[in-house]
Amino acid sequence: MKPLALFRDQTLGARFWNPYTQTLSRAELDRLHLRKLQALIRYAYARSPMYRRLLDRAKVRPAQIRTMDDFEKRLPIIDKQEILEAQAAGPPFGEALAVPEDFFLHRFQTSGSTGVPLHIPLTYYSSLLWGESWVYLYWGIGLRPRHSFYFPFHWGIFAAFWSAYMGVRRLGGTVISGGGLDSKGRINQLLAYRPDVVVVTPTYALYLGEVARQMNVDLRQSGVSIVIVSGEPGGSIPTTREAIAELWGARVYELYGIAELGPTNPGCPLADRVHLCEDWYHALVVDREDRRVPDGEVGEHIVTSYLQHGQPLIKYRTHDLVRWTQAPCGCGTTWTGYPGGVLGRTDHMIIVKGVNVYPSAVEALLHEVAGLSEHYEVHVTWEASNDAVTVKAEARPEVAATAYPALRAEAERVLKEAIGVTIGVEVLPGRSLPRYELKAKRFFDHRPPGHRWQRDA
Amino acid sequence: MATRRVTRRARRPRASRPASDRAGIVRRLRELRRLARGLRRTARAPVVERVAQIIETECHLALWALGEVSAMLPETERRPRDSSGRAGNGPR
Repeated sequence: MKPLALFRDQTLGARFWNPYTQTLSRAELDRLHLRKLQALIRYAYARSPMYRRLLDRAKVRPAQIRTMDDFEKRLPIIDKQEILEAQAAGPPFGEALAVPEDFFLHRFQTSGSTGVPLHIPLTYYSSLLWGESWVYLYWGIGLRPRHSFYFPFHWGIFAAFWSAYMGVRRLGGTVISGGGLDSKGRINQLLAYRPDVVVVTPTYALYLGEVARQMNVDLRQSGVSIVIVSGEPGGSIPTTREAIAELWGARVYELYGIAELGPTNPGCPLADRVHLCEDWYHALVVDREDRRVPDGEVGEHIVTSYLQHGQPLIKYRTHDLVRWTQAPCGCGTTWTGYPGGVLGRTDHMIIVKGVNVYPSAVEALLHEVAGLSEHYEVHVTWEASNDAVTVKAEARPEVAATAYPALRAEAERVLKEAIGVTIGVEVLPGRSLPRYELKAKRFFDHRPPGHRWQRDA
Repeated sequence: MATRRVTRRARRPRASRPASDRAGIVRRLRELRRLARGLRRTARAPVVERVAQIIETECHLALWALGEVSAMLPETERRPRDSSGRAGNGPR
């Protein structure tokens, strides 16, 4: 039989999905961004009543954005609340919409955990680009059309892993759906189908391990060689990544995305950072006063999407804290890197006696304490003009309750040594904290709103 | 009856020549998009028009990926007048 192949040998061995742009110099990338931003701003001003109003209010016309400096300084940063208000003007999409509904291919929404869900319209073209953004990761870590991808996912109204699925379709890989099953059913399916890749949240990757243990199944025998995590920090936290790698006997990579924007940052093949997908996104990292922070510094991630044509998003406040760098990466790309991925949320920012404490750092440190499980909660209160933090950490089921005081002392020592301030730890019995199938709720903010960096988005 | 003599060289269309350089690829993508637009305008079957839309969209995507920035959506690009004289819905 004559062999069939989707890709020719010449392209199959390519290091990058898009060799034309993934190695451009910063100056060339910035020139390209400016042209894309100008096209996007013209589009949004012409088609989205919300953007026309925003730009008119800021006294800016699209033609006045001539340089990147104009873009950074003259255009307003937009927050989720403004999109919600624009949608409320004529639900579900109201004045945020830029295309007729004929163009919709798919509709999503956020969970609305803070009140009102944000509606996300996806055009056919946007859906292609959502998928494309994942393929940079897939291709970079050596995945090709011959590989199969398992999705232990419910395929609901939340964007979650839909874009990863669209990416597998773009790549030409095989999708295996774990929809409609509980965790035990999914583990049985994994053993039966033996996929190459599992795409999952870090929380659920670890939880499946717990369920597998109860079933006397070793996930290292499942044949999965790569676990791709997304949806919450974890993939860039070394100790979490190692715990998942150990559990599955697999390499672990991540993609950082935001539901309303899409898959903005595919993980680096070296697995210590994510890169901005500069073909389809532009980003700034800013301080509390919305000024650009220098290379290597931490700030809030402000993202512009070139692919949300149904509902354009320009300079969108993600509330995610990242450290950005233009320094060359060992993987060979020139695209902006974010070492450590997402470090936390601006609305989860904790300052204890002048020291910034990131919940992701707490997670990484707890994994260093032998005897603690991966399940924990961070509780923040406001006491004596300061943020006060208590960590509730769950012991491994096999640890006796008599060992809890020593475990607590060890955890408090590790946190104090690494962060420099005292963080109280409460050790709880095994399996006492809730389990989650998508994103875990780990952060509980009991501070009055005036004492948070930003209000909850 | 006269038979038309077609040599191997003559049958090979220009498009099959390798276009390894970026400019050549861009040129060929634009040509492909132009053909797809023509097909969209003249297709009588919805199935063919939809396929032409998809080809045009994919060409637009590939051109953007190569740094050839135009309108945000293929449907909002400036277009030549069609056979009925109707102007395209181009962007500003």
